[in-house]
Amino acid sequence: MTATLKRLVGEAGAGLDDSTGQDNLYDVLKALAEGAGEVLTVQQASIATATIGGMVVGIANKLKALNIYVGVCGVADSTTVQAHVNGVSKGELTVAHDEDDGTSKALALDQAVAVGDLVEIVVSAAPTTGTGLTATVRLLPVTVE
Amino acid sequence: MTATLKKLMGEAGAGLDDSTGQDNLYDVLKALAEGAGEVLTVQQATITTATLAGLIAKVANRLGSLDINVATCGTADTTTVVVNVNGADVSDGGLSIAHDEDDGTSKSLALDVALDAEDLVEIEVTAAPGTASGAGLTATVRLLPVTVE
Repeated sequence: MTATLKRLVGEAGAGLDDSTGQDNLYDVLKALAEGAGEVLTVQQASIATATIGGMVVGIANKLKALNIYVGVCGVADSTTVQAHVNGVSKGELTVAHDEDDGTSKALALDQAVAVGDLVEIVVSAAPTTGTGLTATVRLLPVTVE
Repeated sequence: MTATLKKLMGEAGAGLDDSTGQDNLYDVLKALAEGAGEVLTVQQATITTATLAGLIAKVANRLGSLDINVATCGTADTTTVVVNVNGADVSDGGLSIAHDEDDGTSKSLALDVALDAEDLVEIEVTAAPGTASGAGLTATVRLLPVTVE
């Protein structure tokens, strides 16, 4: 979703009043919560097994998603990308060599992380002649219901 | 902290009412404020002195923290990481991890440095373990425009 934050909150129907037809406070907070977390994103030109990005957690947080995109899926084997916390995989995505070039995949996660935890993106399997990997991990301290 | 934003804000105790036992509006805003700033993060395979990464502040902002992790601390000397703004250390010497600390050590430093739009923020390794024996440095800087009290 996208939402509009009005300068005059009253004008926006700040609480739960939807009678104005405008975004209310919940709508705005929801958009903020869904779009405002920390992002670790990295690209790898020629896909190869490696740790390709990392961050140290600064506040109690939650690992919420892993997304990957593979530009050219290769001619054999698969691309597998894992989200690690302190060296342990908390989820992975795989794109096979025979899937469409330009495939995106998403994995929802709900992994609590603590201050000082090391979050990393790891390519654990690589195809032959695969290129153009983008991998993104998102951390979000707010659960939206 | 992490917080839960309930669809029914009344149910969540939207204001400051804690009688429901659920996250109230302040809790949610606090979690958003603490977790929603800009992040500059970088890794270095073999730890050596260098400027590793930088970003240009988009708006007036505040440098909130530096966090580092060293996978292999090395056999001599120390890893030191500082935060520079426009080329000057604003982290009071930054964070250091000695060669004889546990591999995988993380350290955190709270910062409170005002930034102007277009300031250059950089992560610099100013000291490295001897004989290139340190490996797997991760350094993360956070910018937070909101002070949470």
